[in-house]
Amino acid sequence: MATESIKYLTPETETKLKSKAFPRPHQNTSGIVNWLTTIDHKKIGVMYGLAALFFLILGGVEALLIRSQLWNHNMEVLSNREYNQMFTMHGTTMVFLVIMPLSAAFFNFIMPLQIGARDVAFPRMNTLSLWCFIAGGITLNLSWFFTGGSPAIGWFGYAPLTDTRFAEVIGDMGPDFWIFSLQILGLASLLASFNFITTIINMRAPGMTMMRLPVFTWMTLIVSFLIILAFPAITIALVELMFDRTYGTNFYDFLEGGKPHLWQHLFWIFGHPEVYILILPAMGIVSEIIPVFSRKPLFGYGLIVFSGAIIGFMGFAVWSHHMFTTGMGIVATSAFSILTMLIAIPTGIKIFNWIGTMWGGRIRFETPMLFALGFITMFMVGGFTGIMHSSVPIDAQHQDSYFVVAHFHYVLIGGALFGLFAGFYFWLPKLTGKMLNEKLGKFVFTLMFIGFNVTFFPMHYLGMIGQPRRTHSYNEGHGFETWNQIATIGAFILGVGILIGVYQFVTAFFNKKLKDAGKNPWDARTLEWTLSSPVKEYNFARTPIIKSRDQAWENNYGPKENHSDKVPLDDHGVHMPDRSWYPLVSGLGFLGLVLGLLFHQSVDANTGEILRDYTYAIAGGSIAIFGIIMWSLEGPAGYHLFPKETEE
Amino acid sequence: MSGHSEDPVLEESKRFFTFFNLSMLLVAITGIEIVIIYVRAFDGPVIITVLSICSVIKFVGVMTWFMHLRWDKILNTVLFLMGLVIAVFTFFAVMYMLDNPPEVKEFSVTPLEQDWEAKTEYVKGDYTKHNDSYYVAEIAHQSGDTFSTQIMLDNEPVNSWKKVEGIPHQISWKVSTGDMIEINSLKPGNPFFHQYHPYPEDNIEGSKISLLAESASTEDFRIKVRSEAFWVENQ
Amino acid sequence: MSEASAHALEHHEPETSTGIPNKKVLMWAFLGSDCMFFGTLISTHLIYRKISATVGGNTLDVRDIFDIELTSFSTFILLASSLFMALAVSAIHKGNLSSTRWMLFGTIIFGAIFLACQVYEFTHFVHVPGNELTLSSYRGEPHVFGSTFYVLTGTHGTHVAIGVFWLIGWFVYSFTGKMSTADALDIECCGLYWHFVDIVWILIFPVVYLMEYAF
Repeated sequence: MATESIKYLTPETETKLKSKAFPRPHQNTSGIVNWLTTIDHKKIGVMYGLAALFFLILGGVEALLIRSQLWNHNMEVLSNREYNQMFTMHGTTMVFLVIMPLSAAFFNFIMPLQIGARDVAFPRMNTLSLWCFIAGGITLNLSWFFTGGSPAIGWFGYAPLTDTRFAEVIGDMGPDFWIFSLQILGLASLLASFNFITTIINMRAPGMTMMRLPVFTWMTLIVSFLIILAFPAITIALVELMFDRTYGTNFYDFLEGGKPHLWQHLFWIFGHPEVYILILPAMGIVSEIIPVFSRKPLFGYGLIVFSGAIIGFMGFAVWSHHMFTTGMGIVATSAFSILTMLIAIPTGIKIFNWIGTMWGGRIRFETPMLFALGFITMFMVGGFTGIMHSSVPIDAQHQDSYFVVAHFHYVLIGGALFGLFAGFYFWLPKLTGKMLNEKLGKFVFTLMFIGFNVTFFPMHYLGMIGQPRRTHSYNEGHGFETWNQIATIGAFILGVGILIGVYQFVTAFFNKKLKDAGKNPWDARTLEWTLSSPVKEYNFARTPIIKSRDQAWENNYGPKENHSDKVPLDDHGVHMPDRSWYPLVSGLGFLGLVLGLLFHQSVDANTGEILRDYTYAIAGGSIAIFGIIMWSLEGPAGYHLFPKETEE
Repeated sequence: MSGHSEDPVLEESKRFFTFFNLSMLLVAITGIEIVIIYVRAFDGPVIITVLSICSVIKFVGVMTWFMHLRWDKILNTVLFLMGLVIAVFTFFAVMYMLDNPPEVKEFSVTPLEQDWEAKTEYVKGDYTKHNDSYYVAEIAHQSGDTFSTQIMLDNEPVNSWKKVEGIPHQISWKVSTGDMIEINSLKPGNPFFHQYHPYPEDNIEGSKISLLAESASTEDFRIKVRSEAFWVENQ
Repeated sequence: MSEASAHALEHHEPETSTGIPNKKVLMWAFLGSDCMFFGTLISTHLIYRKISATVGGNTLDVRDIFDIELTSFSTFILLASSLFMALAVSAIHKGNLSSTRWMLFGTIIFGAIFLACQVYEFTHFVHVPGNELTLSSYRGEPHVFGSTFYVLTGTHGTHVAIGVFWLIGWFVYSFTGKMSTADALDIECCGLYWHFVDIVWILIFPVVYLMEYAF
């Protein structure tokens, strides 16, 4: 990333503390230290993306094992418990280790570029989020190796199954791993969201008013608010569960005064906003891509933003539609049913606006557009089945059947994953400076589209004829075999498609045969396309002064008064902060804390009493706190870069 | 940092008195809360209302003045209120949903003291009283001019009335919600006990005709309704 | 302030789009999120208070366990610490370092007294003879009141403890000679956190303690 115009200057400011133990690596750091200590949002985004793609493969393998088990009646690919573990890990991995981090990858990389900022508001906290996410992924997957293996409780961990009283294996630690990994993943998401909110509110380039923000940035903001308001609920629910399991409290223990039903409420108070957290980023990406590939501005920008906000806000009011069959009473059930139906309205508005954008445009069917169109159509199908569930009597039939599995895979794969893949094909040229192979991209899309539909469409039918979810095998005579086999074949096709796609993304960084991208290969509209590809370390050589929405487009095609200006070149150059070890130190500290808490219990061999040893937990926690204190004392430090007048 | 300051020192010095006064007010309100609990001059719900109002006043006081929202830009308040509003709304929704106190809407016990009348249509299962004895109709029939326990049907004598021991009473109840209902009589000499699990559990209505040793009325009976962990009685 | 750090201030305190410093936006967003956190805990406590109101056939009555004088005392203590905190923030804005230091000290002391009362309460309630309230039982019978009570007030206490440590950090820093009005923002953020912890207690005290005496 270094160019010959950079001069290295010693920092002219006094740092608060010069630390000899972990000095801040300066600008000429390279290699692995560069990546471990980076605080640059672009590198953090890349690491989020790579880790998430790895977990996508892992979660995909878990899914293929499930599909293999269901190929025929009474198969024995997986035992009962192993099957339960598979769907638990598949669900938890895909939700928390794939879709959320992929969204975070795009938020990290693209959002600051879209608002004209040099980085996020709190770069070191950003790095800490990344390491907490990695720690969470490690913690969850460590569960395979300990007593009881992975959790077998479903990704939603319903009480009272999670109580130690009902453990299938004595001393089953699976749920404990699940609890702690979700806590640390929650911490990662929360930290990142606070960062993004502050960045979007406070670090926009001059002239970038809220209503000139790209829709993707708006979705970043809304999703961040959803995260900070929804995660506390699951944090508390998990804390209560942990206390139940470890210290014998009675929060969800029905025999001793608790209510398992409360777990469902708390989980879904988080869980429903969570699904909007999963889908809104993809909707933001699609809202960027459709206008570019229709060569028309987004139809109804204000409505799309407003309906995104409404979806976010109303998402807090519909959680009990996951609980229609739990006997909540007539009033509650009807209220949630009506609210769920209402929330379809803003979603529908978005779809009409996307169609309106394409109407009368000059549409190009390149890979990003194919995925975006795939998103719209497949998400609609998932949306229709979702509306079906909102009717309580119909839901009574759908609940716990494969119909629901079909619904959420349509919105999550057909929706979120397609949207995110569209984002990869759209933005990787900006990241890497190279165009991806268009033919291969179209092939990946074809495989994924066909594979996905062949897998999940039959599940609507299977659900209606009675195949239940989360059951490890079915007997002969129900008529399930044929469509299950078709679904399994589809799953493998989808798997191959995803694998090739991931391969394409990862090799994009190294492949010498790819064409150069240039600044704006798609003739796109938003601010990041005014920068060179790959983006320079400092993002903007001179802070732009924004004069309109879709600034890149206006600069190329709009009248002179809409062209962006730049803040005058400054003698000081661009100030770049040094890298830092402390986020990594704190991240390792948190991992140590979590592992320490997981393993603090032991049983005295003689008396049978429980012994609690918090040494490792305290050590881990202290390291985490030490890291945070040291980073607040580290001081800004930094160096300056002096891009040439003509550079971007 | 607070958004406006020609002379920050003067601004802050003025605020000293605001802080001090607010502090005294908070102490006073807390004092009121504690006194109310000790004095116990009011009913439970009134105390709860007063406590809630006091809490809200203190909450808003600290938020607006100690936390500077009064003097800062509105965005800070917006950020905080987002979380507060959603938390409050969710709290009320969950409290409402997990709260099912049952309510006994109607409960009555009345003796069926209909005297026998001539030339009246009776259906099977009707009760009647004649000469201090109680009878139940065995078949649907029209009574003749005088009381008799048999009537002629197709020229065959058929039992129309059967004598019963005890006094028939109609026990009826209407309950808002419940998963178990228990009705028993309070007089040891007049035993009666009925327990069942209603289904569906809402808008429960039922009635029963029962023969009792002595005449009884509603005050002699108790109905207990259970919903979740609540028990409600009519006594 | 030295030349270098004045320069540092201009150089590295960037203009923000709203005029509100980044750290302050962060702290308010965090407090909004923390509302949901405590809201969930308080809801759990109140729900169980309502629907699990009996223990082994008797009504739940914790008046023999609670020590309302102690808790009232600690409530006043926390309110006083809030005043000290507000005054500390005020002092640093005025540039009065000595006043800041001792106001911080007052906050720390009162916060620590509050914590001590809480710790005493916890250890005491578990051992009241005949009336033990533990995490999983009440007077020896399994019940959920202890669970919700200890986790709710314990979480609040943890928040107070974190605040006290943060304040101790500032107190120590005030002796290094490096403190100046440039730190006003950071101390203000600390103040916001402390006041939030106070207002959560303003809610917990009536809802958890006083309500037990209302009926």
